[in-house]
Amino acid sequence: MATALSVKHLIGIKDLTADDIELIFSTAENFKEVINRPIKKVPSLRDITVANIFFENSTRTKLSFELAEKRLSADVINFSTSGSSVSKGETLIDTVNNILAMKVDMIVMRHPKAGAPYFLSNYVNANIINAGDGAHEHPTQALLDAFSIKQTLGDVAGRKVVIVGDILHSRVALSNILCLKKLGAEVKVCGPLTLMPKYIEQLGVSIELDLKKALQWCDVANMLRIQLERQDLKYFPSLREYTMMYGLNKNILNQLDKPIVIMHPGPINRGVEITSDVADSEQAIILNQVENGVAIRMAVLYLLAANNKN
Amino acid sequence: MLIKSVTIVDSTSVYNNKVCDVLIENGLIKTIANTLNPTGNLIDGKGLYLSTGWFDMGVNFCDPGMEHKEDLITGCNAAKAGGFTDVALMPSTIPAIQSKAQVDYILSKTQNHEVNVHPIGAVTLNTDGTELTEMYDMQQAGAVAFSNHKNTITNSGVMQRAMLYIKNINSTLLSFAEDKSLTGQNMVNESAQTTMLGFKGIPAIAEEIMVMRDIQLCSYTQTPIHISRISTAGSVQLIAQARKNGLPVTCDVAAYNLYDTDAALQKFDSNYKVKPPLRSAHDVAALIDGLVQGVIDIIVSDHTPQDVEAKKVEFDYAEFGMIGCESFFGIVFKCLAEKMPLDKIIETFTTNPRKILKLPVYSIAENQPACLTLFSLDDYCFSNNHIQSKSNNTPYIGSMLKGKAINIFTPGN
Repeated sequence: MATALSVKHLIGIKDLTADDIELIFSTAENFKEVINRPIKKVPSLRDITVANIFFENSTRTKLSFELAEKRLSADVINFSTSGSSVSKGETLIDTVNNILAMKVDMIVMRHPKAGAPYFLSNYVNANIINAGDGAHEHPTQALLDAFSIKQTLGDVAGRKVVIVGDILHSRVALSNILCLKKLGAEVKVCGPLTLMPKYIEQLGVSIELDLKKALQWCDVANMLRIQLERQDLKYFPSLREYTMMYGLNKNILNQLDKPIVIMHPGPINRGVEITSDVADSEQAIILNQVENGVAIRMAVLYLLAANNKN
Repeated sequence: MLIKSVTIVDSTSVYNNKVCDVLIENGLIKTIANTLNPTGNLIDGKGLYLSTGWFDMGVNFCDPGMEHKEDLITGCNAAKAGGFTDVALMPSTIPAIQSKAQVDYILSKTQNHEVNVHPIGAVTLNTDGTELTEMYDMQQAGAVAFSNHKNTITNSGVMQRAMLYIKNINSTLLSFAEDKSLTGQNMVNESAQTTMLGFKGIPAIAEEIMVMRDIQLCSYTQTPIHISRISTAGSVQLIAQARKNGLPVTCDVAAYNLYDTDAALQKFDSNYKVKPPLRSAHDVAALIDGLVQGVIDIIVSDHTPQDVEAKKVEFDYAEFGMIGCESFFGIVFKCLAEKMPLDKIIETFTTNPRKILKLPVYSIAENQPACLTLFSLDDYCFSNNHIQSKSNNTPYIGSMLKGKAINIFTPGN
């Protein structure tokens, strides 16, 4: 197995090899053991400064990164601004200049626009970790999702995964598709056709419009959040009708031939894409995903920092 | 002025493909012969080519309104560097060119420049697609055609009346085909490539539905229409069929749509953010075939200067467009050298735009106006030194291109 990542930045799953992903997983397994110890902190990132720059709201991703950084003993600075105050990219350039002046080693960035981390990587020398850019990628989410599948089912290869919901506006969907395909899983996407990119099948997935059929087929269902904030137009008549067609409830689960694993990247719109009894059921591994998120982010930070030393 | 041993490229000339000496005097081609004795200024044309003056039928010089991006003089300098003796100026200014006074402004500002500037007036006031402008008045002042630039006239009734009115004054209507309700806020081609980048994309049918509408209106009104900047295989097919049916439909394509595909967007370089968007390899092949078959009449640079603040930002926030005059021939010849004879390539930016704009068509013959472009077919690395525009928003700096203009000659200069 590889001992170092093939990339300087983690901008997208598309830049990673299957070996890179396996290396991140094996490193994350070690860190998962670490964070379950009484003393959860290791000195791996001592003297490394990490800036968490969030141009878009985030709760769990930001907390997860910050926790990962602190458990690795990094120095952490946070910068957040809501999308509305970002005018025409000035803030990003200005922020970049500030970061350079402060000798930051690593940048974790979330941004409402696709490609912003690529733009940033042209102007800074620090390692960049993409914490979500528009509807492009959210690589650490995809890694923690695949890692959670591996931890629950033993492996990812050959598993059948259905991603349900707003595929068109979801960076989680795109990164998940790329990651799961690289690891040998079979992937279907399920949701209203108005929220389905026209060329999605060319990414090696198939479309299933019927939720029940999709669930019957799969081992794992990843229920996406409806991204109302990213929808510039009306793509379906009402949340009520969306829930009627694509909401997952206990009744549907009970009709399936076999138990399936339920995932959700959070935050959950309870009663929309998933009902509370499903979210809180034993089949749901939503909180395991959160725990694995810290381990995966520790692994990514650690491996990117290790590359700099070599 | 004597140009020695130059190869003539002009399919309408008896000297086509011949190496000749060309003597220019008082703005006219005085003599063409195998050998002429040098008198006065001499240019060694050995290894070089001479055609009638190049005509760029789609440039944006941002003056008035955005002179920090380009002005009429720097724009003309860029055109000259690209080998253009003539340019047709889109009404993409602020305000749009929509009155006699504005046409006068452009002509008077550029009258002393070697490059001839031909203003295109707006079809409707402020190019918003509702009220027709005083097109006859603008035509009298020197406007050669009418266009709403890239603001498609979505109201078919307005479009129909514009077509009839322009037929009435024997001018030319240039229509940009885009159904904005299908384009939405999207910025790039809709494809698997751009799905991978998290973009929703502009579908090919956003263009093709409007091409279909324009063809139907052309048929109904029996009025010629020119469709600007087609970019999809479907548009080529629709226009080819319309022509087979005998309809007077012509069209042009931007050089960048021949040269690049949406694969160029991988790193989100905003210099590739253009409209129409870079399409798929299949579309590019169809566009090139459309040129070979003569379905596409004209290639334009679609020179669109943007200052650094409009481009050095996240892709979403960047403005559309790239400068194109200076790199025009280098990329066009690189795309087409193996596909079309040189004289046919040259026609797409010499005689064809002149015919469609109903301007005099020149040829390389004695006593013809000396409106000429001297050029080479050599490979070279395109650099900042080639750029005369105020802006340098082009992805081609550092690219190996094939062919460039050496000089232009225009009557009176």
